[in-house]
Amino acid sequence: MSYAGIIVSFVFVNNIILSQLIVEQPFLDLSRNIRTSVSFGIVLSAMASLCALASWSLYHAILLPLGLEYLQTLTFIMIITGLTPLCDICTAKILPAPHSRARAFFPLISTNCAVLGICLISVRASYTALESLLAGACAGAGYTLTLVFLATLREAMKKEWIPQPFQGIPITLISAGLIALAFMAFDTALRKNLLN
Amino acid sequence: MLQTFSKGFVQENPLCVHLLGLCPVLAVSVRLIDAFAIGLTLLVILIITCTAMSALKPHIPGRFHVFICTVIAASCASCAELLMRAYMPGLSDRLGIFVPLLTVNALLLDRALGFARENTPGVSFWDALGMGTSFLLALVGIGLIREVLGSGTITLVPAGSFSGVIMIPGLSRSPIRLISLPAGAFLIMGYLKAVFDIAHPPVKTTRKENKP
Repeated sequence: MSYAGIIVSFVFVNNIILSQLIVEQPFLDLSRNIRTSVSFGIVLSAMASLCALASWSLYHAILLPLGLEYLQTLTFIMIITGLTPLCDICTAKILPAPHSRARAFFPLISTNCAVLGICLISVRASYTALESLLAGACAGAGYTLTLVFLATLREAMKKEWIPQPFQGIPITLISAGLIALAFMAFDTALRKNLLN
Repeated sequence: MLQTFSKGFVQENPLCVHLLGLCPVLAVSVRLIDAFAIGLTLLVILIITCTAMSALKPHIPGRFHVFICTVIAASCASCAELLMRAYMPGLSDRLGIFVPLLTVNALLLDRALGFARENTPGVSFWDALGMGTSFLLALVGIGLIREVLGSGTITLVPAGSFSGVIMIPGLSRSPIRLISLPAGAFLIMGYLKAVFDIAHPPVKTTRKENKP
């Protein structure tokens, strides 16, 4: 797949939350306000692209030549849980203190299924190294986009009256469903028309 | 012991109360048999991981707990995927990457790093069995609702002259397609959560959430 194809595919057509449904409960907490969702999205995109590249290199350097493809899940989860604390320490050294708020996200990243999902997807679709890096970054961007849309909706809904049983999680899930409905406009036909 | 086993069914149901393990619920509940298969896989992985974690916890330092837990779960998930690919290739194709993704399932991490770390292997086993079974039941329920409304069929295992698919008269000709699409997964989950909250109003607990 071309690079433009990967961008359109992972941000819109196969959005990791809205159409592949690789999502866990924390995204309901994280979409509470726009600021949190943007900063989490940036950390997630960086980690996803890094992990996708690392798992691609390990898969093609060690697992494939030795015929150990069946260890891919085990290797990838070890890469993710190993890289995350490392990046946490690096961030603490490089970034000035005000940005250290972002460090609270790292424990969430290490057990985020979107990161493992993108590593598995890019290896199983046999992408090249650059394509996996791009796929990780774009999947992260798609995740961020969805979180921002959801956070915007939730901030707008604070002013509205919501029936008591729907307050909190149910209305958030239903809003996510309506965003997913809107994202159905981005389908494979769109990608083909855009790129040809 | 019975209380440890049964607490997950209603008042601490992992799916309906805490929305743990949302990933397989949203993604593979389009067919009843897929939902059942992934629920059963998670139940087995949950039992192995929780029992192993609570047996191993005195021997590993605290900061490696997440790492060891995910490694145990990933080994189980890989085994499950290989077995599924060998004996049920069709099912394995439909479930795709969602079997390896069970490794980072929130329910699994919550039970293995929360409950199993503070209890003995025996108690953790019963807790994992109860939680896994209640998750399986909730997942099968959602799978049934989504398949009946979304495609108008009920897919079971084919046996003898029975093809494995029950067609529901009326609905199978004009089903509500939206419900079997990704958007429908979120909508159905939202409405079910609201209905569950009416039936069992959420108790204000001190359960700590992963708030950044």
